[in-house]
Amino acid sequence: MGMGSLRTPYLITYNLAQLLGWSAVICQTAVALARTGSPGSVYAAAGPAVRLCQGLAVLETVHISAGVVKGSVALSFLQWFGRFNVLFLVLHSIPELWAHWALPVMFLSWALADVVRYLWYALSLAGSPPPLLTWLRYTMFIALYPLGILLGEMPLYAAGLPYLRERRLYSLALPNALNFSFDYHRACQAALSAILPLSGTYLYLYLLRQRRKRLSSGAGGKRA
Amino acid sequence: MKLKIVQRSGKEVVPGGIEVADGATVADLQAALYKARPKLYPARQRFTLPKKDGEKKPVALAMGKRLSDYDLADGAQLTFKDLGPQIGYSTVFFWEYFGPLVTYSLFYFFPGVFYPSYKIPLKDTIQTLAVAYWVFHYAKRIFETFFVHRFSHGTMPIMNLYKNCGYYWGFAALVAYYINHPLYTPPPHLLSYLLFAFAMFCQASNLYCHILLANLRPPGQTAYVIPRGYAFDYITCANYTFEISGWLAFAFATRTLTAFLFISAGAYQMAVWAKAKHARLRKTFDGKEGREKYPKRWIMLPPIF
Repeated sequence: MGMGSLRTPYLITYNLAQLLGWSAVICQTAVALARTGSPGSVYAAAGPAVRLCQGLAVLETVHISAGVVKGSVALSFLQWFGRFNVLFLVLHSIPELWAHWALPVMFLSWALADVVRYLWYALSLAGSPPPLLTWLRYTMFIALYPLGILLGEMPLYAAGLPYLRERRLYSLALPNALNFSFDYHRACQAALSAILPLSGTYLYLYLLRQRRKRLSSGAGGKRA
Repeated sequence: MKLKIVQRSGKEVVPGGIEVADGATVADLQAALYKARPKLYPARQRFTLPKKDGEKKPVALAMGKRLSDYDLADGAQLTFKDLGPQIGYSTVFFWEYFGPLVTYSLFYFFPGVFYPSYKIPLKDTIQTLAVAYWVFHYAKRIFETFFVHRFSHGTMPIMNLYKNCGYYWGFAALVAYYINHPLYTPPPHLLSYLLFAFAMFCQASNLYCHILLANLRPPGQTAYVIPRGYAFDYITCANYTFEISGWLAFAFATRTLTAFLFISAGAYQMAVWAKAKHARLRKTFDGKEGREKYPKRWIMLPPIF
């Protein structure tokens, strides 16, 4: 079918595009913080780039389900959806959160981890990534992952809950023709109190296991 | 003859090996191991021959065969796997079907308990038909478990009991909660009655399909047979076709999203099984060497699948 030869250039392009986007996020966030000294202007400056990059990242799940990339469809989707939920459904829907101190923390921890990750993918596809980059990719998460969750996502969820309850965002009440109900505020409560701590811990331990595997075997394998 | 029994780790299960008669059957081997290791009852035992080149999976010893059928002689080695605590198929089926029967009924008969902050109105006819249909369906399944189905395996790992019950009981609660809710909004009644009637027809057809399948092979025969009769002439897994159609009709008759979610999950799982069964039958009945050729049939959902 000839698709095989397109795979590598396409994936390299995708990964470089994400690299560019998240680099922009770092610059925009840093500049906004430096210029005003407060988190208030960060969402206006870096928000569009974060939304674009994170929205586009659903392609990674598509790649896996199309067989273009190896991996777990479910894992990839859940990780994407976790970020999508806090970014689009909570943060973006509640303007009162846009000046929250946790916002730049979340943006920077996502961006710093992803810049290294996408560069690593791109270089793996083109050949072999330098060992220093592999080391960074499998080490930075040790600090960035808990930082992003504990001081980024969780405070934003907590701050957003009262607004979600009061405005009944993304919720469906009975009676209705579908005979279905959904309380988004309750779902986010569950996310904050149970889902994030449990899945976060599990993923963190998984990444630590991956680190032990990858860093001890030497050269990085092919992954995109 | 003496057989060496090792685990995949290399450790011997019975130091020194097991002694069996030369004409012994697989069952005799199982009994001998069970005597030496009382914790490993026969249903937990799985023996495989050493893997030959080109084999994807090692050959497992099957019930009913003799050890000599596998060219096993004195001094041969078998790999042993402990399948873990086992539970009978009938036992699992009973509990996974009895749970939904009770769970759904509780929501219907005791709404005050499940919807404490609401005023409970009179039941709509559709809600009553729904509980009747649901209870009938699961009672039928329990009946089939004990009087119709012929299981080719006797047991399954015990974790399956919890997994399956979680699935069935969980969905029972999700569906029952919304259909029996005080704020339930029924769809147009006449259409709903027609759909329930169609759903009952599907249930009857599904039962007939199960009876046909149970009678396909005489007891003890393990060779595959091409299913024939009724819708099987056109569809490999006609029983699934009727099961799905019945639940789809139920979902439309009650117009409840969770009922649609329930049948979607079920249909997906059945599609996976149907695909495998269809492939097995086509592979077995390939038309070569005097074997029949498997007729052109849909897998489960005409006209697309």
